[in-house]
Amino acid sequence: MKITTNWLGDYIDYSWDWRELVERLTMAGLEFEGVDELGKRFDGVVVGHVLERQQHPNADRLSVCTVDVGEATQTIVCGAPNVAAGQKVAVALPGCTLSGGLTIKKAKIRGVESLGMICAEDELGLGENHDGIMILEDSLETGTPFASAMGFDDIALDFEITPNRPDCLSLVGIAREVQALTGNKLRMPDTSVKESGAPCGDAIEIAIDAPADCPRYVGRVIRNVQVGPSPAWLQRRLQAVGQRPINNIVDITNFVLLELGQPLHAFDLKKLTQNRLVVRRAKTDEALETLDGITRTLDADTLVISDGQHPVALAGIMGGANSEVDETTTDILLESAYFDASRIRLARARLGLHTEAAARFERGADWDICLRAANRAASLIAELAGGIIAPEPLDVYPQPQTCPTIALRIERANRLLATSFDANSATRILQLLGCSVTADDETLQVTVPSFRPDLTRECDLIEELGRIHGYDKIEGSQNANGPWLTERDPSLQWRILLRRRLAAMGLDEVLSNTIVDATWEQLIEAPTAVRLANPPTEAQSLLRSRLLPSLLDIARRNFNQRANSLALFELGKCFSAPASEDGLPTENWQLAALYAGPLAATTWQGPGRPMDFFDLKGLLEALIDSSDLQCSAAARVGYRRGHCAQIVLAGKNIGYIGQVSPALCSNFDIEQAVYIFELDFGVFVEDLERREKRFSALPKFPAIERDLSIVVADAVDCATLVETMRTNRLVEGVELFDLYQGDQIKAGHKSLSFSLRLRHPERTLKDTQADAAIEEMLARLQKQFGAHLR
Amino acid sequence: MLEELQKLQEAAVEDIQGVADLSVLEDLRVRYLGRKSPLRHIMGQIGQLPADQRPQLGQAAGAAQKAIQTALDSRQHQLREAVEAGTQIDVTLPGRRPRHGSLHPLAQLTDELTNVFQGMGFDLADGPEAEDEYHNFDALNTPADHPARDLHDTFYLQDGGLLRTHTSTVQIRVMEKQPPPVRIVSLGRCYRKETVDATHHFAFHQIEGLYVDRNVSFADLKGTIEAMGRQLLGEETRVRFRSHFFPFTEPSVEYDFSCSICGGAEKTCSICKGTGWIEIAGAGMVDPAVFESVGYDPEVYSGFAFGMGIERMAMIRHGISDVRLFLENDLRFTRQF
Repeated sequence: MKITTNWLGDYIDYSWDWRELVERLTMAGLEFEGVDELGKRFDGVVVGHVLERQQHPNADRLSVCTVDVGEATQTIVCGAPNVAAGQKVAVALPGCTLSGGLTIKKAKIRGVESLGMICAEDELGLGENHDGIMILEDSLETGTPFASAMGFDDIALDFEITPNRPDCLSLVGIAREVQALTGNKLRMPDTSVKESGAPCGDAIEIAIDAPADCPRYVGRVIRNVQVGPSPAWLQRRLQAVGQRPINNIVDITNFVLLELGQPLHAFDLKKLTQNRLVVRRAKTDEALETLDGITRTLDADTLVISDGQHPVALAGIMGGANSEVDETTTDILLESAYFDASRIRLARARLGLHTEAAARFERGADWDICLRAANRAASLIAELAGGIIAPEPLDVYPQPQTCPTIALRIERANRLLATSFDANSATRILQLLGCSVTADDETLQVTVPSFRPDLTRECDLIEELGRIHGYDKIEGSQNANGPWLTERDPSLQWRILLRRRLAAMGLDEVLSNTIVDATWEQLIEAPTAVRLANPPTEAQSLLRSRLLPSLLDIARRNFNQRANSLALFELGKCFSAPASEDGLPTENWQLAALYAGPLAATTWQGPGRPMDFFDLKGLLEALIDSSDLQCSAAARVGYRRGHCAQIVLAGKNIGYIGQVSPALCSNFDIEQAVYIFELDFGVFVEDLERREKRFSALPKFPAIERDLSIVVADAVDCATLVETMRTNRLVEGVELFDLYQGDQIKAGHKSLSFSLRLRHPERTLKDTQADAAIEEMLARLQKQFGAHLR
Repeated sequence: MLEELQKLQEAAVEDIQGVADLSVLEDLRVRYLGRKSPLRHIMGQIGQLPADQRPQLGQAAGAAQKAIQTALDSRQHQLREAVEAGTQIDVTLPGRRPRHGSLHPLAQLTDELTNVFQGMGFDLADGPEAEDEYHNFDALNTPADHPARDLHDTFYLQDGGLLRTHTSTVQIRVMEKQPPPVRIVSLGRCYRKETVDATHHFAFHQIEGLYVDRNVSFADLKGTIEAMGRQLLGEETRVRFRSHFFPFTEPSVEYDFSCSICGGAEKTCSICKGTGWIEIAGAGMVDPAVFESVGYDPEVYSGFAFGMGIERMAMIRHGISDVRLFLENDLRFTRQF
């Protein structure tokens, strides 16, 4: 909503400069959008008095003028044919820059020194006219700044109005806010009319077929108007708030809309062929060409004004071309109605049409102001377009609306706001906002005005008290109910802990988009993708089911930026259909890590080493830190065959680890080997939460270390061998320290070397006992796996 | 004997000073002070001398031993220094670096906010990102034809549901599950159908706070937000509350923090544009209609709720000018924080 400070001053006195005004209104809830100091573009332009005009000695078409500019008398060379002694003119003084960008300098023109410029309209940015200089009214005082002399020294302010405040979409509404903030009295515009001629009812008849959509419809007939341009002051006001003047009738309806917030529409009465208006729903496929020249197909959800046959306006949104006021119009019907907010909102949304009128109706207009707004416009039309206002306005108002009365408990307001209002101070604020109030001890009975549809409950009134009183006057505290024990959600704590652990182990955290390319999900053959109905782009249309493609995309981006090696992780939500009980997708937290490139860069100390599966597996083992972790060979979409394992923790599958399939990598333009693990974070955390931190006594007896190198067929798993060795109760630990496959042993076989730690819990182990244990173990390995000592 | 001692000492000191090798020096130590050394031999003889000669010779022998010992120690020190100096390393060669990881700047701020609010007694709550219209709108006093739904451009899912447009959904989910009192914050991702540019993204993160109990007032809201502002932007931070409108709070406010960069002194300040205030987010007292939708009695309980954009706060704190950087995950960006 744009206003100007001078215009606002028509309705309320205030002593603030514009900055203070903005500050106060901002705190009360109007959001400041911008300022335009309209007079600024005339800085350096003054009213001058041409004392004398002489022909330029060296140029036929130039005049040399002696001009009084207030503080001095200057010589100014002027090229305009219409300049003459005695005129009051606009003089741009040397040093000033005009709105078109022209900077005025002291100059010699054909040998005569000129100190300034006498301006034409276009040079001042006031119009197109360059036929001659602008001749001002004689009454203007010589030397005064042009802007203030002409009334251009106004300041336009733009505010964003929240959807609950339709009343503030008007000058009077904002003036009422100033009234509440200052206590100064609001001056409503004069809405009295001088009527004559035949009554309105003689010219037209009005009927409402849809009273729920249109509770009130006021029509006023004005005859013998003369359509033409509006006077300068009216044009200037509209221009100052960004509206284009059209003609006096349209400009007046727009002016009253801005002034009172009531949308009005003027029909050319003679174009309403049947002398009647009906407010009704449109019929399916009925069409109307609106004032913007577009023909719109309507349906039964749209409310229209019809002339008894065809629609002549989209109710509350825009008029129709078939009844438009033009230069030939003499008689008009002025509409001032109250339409239902949700009906207008629905129709406006359906037609995709934003208008000043619709913006007001759909937020909730003022049903009480219809007649007064019509009167205000009618009397301006009479004054500025020479019309005759017909008596007895038509006011179709089947069921008069009433203003609700709301009980307001002062004590409750004070408790909620931490304020100390009494009945008097609260009543005063509410009255300044336009409410009528009767006090009943500590409860106020508040009748809210018709222009505040947002005030329906006690809490709404409490907000009014708070915002006018000023939230800055309320002292902050944190003492409502004393101390409080925070329940720490363990899974949220684990999220933080594990992310920090991964970062400490050298990985960079990333946060990727949850809405992903549909092709990505195809690449991983996601079985149950969740699709957006209205995706941000055509490609980005699915919710991700796994983190893998997102991490590959990030790897691509960073390799493109010449990253050498990558170690990334993300903890993020993934989605899958089918729907859970409530019909919504299933969401789960997944944790994924990616390795690619050399483990360490090549440095002066030697070459780097490429990362491989076991680097990432080691990271996984360190992260999970549990002897219950097992990896077993598996296949999974997105992983390279034979290089993928299922991760099992305490008997539960928690995810996969392995090398990303090179084909998938090439889809992301990655040539090097990429390793990744994906964990179902929820299952992992359940295990973490179950872990007990129990003390076990430190060993009292020494351990014996033995190495064991065995040869087995390639197909035998390392993990199975370790598991078998551990069945011996003296074995405390088994570590693989060498793996050999090559010429020195039989083909199809491998040699594994383990270091074993043996310990007896209750006595010192003897070498002979350790030897016996190793013998037993070897025999078992031989029997089960055909292992033999290397 | 005195003369002998004198000669012995002079010879020893001369030998010691001439040594260039630590192991040779060790040999000399044995030769001059060892059990079989001439000095020990002389000392062994002192006991057999007449009593009046013993003190003088004893002192002389002690002095000689001390002098030799001192010479040995000092030479050893000199030689060790020389050895150390000979093996000096080039300390300016680059170190062998362990890889160091990093936490994403948004996640860091999320962690910090978690800390701040747990410190003030708020529990953490989590809620779904794929939501239904009821939890995102209706239960938050935003019925289908409510003008406020215009403020959100919402992503809808093809098979029903939507992506939440704010974390306020978690308020409802928590209150549905437990009776008052409630004191929670929830941090997470939200979605709005915005055109992506330097200041907008269709995916963003929010923190939501909710406190419901008997006698919770606007003063408590103010105190909590003020505490947050001080912890995030420094002890000097002031907060102002401007009246605003949200369907789910009444009264509703927007809150601004005083500019931590210029303090309002500079017209060209990129953060506050010289106003001295940084617009942060919205807050207010929970609307009674919201309480009714979760079965809380608004006559008994009152509460406040607030929200804040994580990206916006991170941008303010780190001077980041483009919101798109957060989800692009260029490590040259994420590793800066």
